[in-house]
Amino acid sequence: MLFVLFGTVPGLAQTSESLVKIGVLAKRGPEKCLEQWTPTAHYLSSLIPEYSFVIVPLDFKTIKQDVERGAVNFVLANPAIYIDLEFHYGVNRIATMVNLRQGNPFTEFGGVIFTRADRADIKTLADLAGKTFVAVEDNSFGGWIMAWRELVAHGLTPRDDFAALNFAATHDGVVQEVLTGKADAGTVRTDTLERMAQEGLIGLEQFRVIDDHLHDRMEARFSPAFPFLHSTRLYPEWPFAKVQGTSDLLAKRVAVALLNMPADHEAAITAQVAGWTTPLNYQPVHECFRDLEIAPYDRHGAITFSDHVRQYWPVMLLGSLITLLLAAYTFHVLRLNRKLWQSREMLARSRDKLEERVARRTADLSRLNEQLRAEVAERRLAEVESRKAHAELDQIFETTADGMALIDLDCRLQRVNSTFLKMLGFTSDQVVGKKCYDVFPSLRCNTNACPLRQVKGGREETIEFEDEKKRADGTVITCIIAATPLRDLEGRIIGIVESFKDISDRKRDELALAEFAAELSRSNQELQQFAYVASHDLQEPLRMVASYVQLLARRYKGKLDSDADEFIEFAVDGANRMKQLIQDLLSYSRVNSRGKDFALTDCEAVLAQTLLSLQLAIEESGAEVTHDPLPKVMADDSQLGQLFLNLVGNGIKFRGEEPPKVHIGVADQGDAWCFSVRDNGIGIDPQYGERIFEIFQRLHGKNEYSGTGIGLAVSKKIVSRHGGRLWMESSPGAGATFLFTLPKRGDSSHELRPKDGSH
Amino acid sequence: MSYAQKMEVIEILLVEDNPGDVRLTVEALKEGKVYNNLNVVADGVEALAYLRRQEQYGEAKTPDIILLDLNLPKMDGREVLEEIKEDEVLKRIPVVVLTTSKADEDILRVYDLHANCYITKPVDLDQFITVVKSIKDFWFTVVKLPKNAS
Repeated sequence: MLFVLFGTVPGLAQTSESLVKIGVLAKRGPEKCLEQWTPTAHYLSSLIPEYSFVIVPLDFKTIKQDVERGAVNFVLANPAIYIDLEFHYGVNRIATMVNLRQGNPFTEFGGVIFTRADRADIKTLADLAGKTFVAVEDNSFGGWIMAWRELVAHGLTPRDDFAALNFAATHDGVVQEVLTGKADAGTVRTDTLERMAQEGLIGLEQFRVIDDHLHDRMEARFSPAFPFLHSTRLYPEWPFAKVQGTSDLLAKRVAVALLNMPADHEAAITAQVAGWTTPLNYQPVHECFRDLEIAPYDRHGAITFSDHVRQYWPVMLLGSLITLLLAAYTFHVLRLNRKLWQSREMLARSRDKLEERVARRTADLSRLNEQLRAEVAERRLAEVESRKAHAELDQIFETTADGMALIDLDCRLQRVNSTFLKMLGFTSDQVVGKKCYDVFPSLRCNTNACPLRQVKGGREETIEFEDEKKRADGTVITCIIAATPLRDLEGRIIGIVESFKDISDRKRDELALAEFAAELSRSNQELQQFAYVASHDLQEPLRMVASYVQLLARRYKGKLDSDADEFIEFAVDGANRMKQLIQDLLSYSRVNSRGKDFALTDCEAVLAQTLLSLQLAIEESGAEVTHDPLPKVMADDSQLGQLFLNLVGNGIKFRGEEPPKVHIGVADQGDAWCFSVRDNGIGIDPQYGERIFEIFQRLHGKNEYSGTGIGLAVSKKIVSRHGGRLWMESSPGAGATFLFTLPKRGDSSHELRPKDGSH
Repeated sequence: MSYAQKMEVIEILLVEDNPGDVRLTVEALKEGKVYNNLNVVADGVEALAYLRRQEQYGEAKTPDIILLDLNLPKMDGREVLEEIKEDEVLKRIPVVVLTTSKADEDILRVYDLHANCYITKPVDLDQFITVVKSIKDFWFTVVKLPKNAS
């Protein structure tokens, strides 16, 4: 209902005057007035944007005329002026200012009568007789009328009893005149002195407040909570009033805006108010004005009548007899009149009360309405934000690289994204609303491995598993599926979210790789087997050839011709070399197939054994073999011995002119040992660096150096079986260094395993 | 039978299927000047028949030494060795296993079966002759004595 009301306001605004003038009584001059109230106008403009509010400073003297001719739409003035305007021009208060003084809100104010502190002759109101007195304006409520009432109550008639009564136009002016001695005493509204003292214009100790009469009277209306210096009764603060002719709707909206003005709003701060409240009862003001018989309660008639009496008393005397006859009747009429007047007053009073209640109720409703409106606006904004966020989430959901499916507690697919549909080759209709076990069944369905069942069972964390899913076209894909509980806003589980990652390609690659590796391993094994079997079985016929050729040589050497002897010799040599090759091939194939498990092996002991085997060669060549202290390593001791035998043997075999020198060194590389076997022999051209490690590769003629070229190939195989690397650093003529690494593994603190002497 | 006669002619049973090896053994025994009476059978079944004087081997003499090849048709050398060593009479005959296999498991197996000697057939003829000669020495020093003692 209220909402509809507000909704129609902009329409009305278009047809009415959009500039709203607020006339403000400029008690401290027009500049200060504008400065003080312009933010309030802006505040109203911002809340009621169809109107533009401006402040019009009004003078004490002209305010009535301005209101009369409708120069302003609203008027903010002191209560005295207000009741006059109310009486004459039907202005109607819509709010009462909550004044902010010394940080506290006040809805009442009064007047203070004061003199200079050094005026010992003025202590009571009675002392003011015969003195000069200054007030703000003759129609200034706090700055004159309130004080006037108190003076009259104490038997002083200002016009007769003061030596002079002046009006200084502003409150500050009054204070200045008393301070400079231009007047003996003066009156201003409460808090003027405190304010000026705070502004540093005066010192409070420079004045004495004449409030002795208050101590005698102690009337209830003198609020003890009112902390300012005051000499008069207190009256409600300035009302904000609507001028007749200003639209009621606008007035209502202005009232609501004012009532809602927060105390910390810039407009309130600048206006030095703590906000606005529902219009107060201005009856005390009316009483004040009635006491003083001033407008609107002045009695023009009485004064005119006495004048007439003075001027025309003889005529009047003659007519008095006739008049006397009418007197009784007149008196009766007058009494009736008075009664009528009194009841009218009572009516007015109750009307005020009623109005006040209505205004308060209206304000409450308006405030409620404002709140509702703010809430609705907020909700609308939140809705827009939420829709935006929703759209973003939708887009992410649709375009993510994973297939997504939302499944409710009934196993029903609530929602899927396009990636999901593409992945499984379905259309949305084939999927949404269907049971998940119908769309993409799995071995997990109906078992405890079903992620939905696990989530229902209280599982919180994401369940990830690999599964095969049948696509719409019957092909099968392998997916990694991550299932996460889906919760509503209250945190209740309402289903699961499953995200699908198609790993079929990866799976295929992995499978192919595994197959390839298995194939490789098989072919490797076959090759090993082949090498072993071939070399083994080749020995049999070879033995026949070699043995019988040797038998021939033994029995018939020198008995046939020289050609035959030579032929037999070549045949024997060939058979021998063949025998060597086959044995080498056999030992090469045995590195892996007949290797022993690794055990903690003392390299010192292995090397000592090796050097023993090489003793003959060392003695023959005069070789010098030295070595660093060698560690214990995890190794196959036989193969390690063979490795040393090959490398040290090579160092001795491939000697230069000098007697061979071979040094076995070792360096700790942290996670591995790096052994080096350095010789001073003929060296090897680095361009053959890799070739020398190939099986049966030889760099030298058989006449220069014996051997089949198997040693380094076997050595390399041994090192690589131990997880190390074998390489060579050399240049021709400068000797060669063979380096190999053995990874450290196992616990080197183990005792050396007892070794078998036959190795 | 005198001791000297026995010394001169050694009764040998060669279990070998390869005629080349048979001939080579004959030649090696000749070269090694081992005086012997060499009887050859070509497989394990025949070898056991010979030793147990079955069928045509009714007149066979108990050999002083058995030269046994491991790779034989029908019944291989390892089985023959097992049979011999389970036979109370035959197990006293020293058996020299001749094989081309250097594989550790073969060697261990035949020793487990109480072969008296295991000889890898060398490819080199000279070495083979040496081996055959060592059989003679072996027969004299190791085998003959316990046989005599019994």
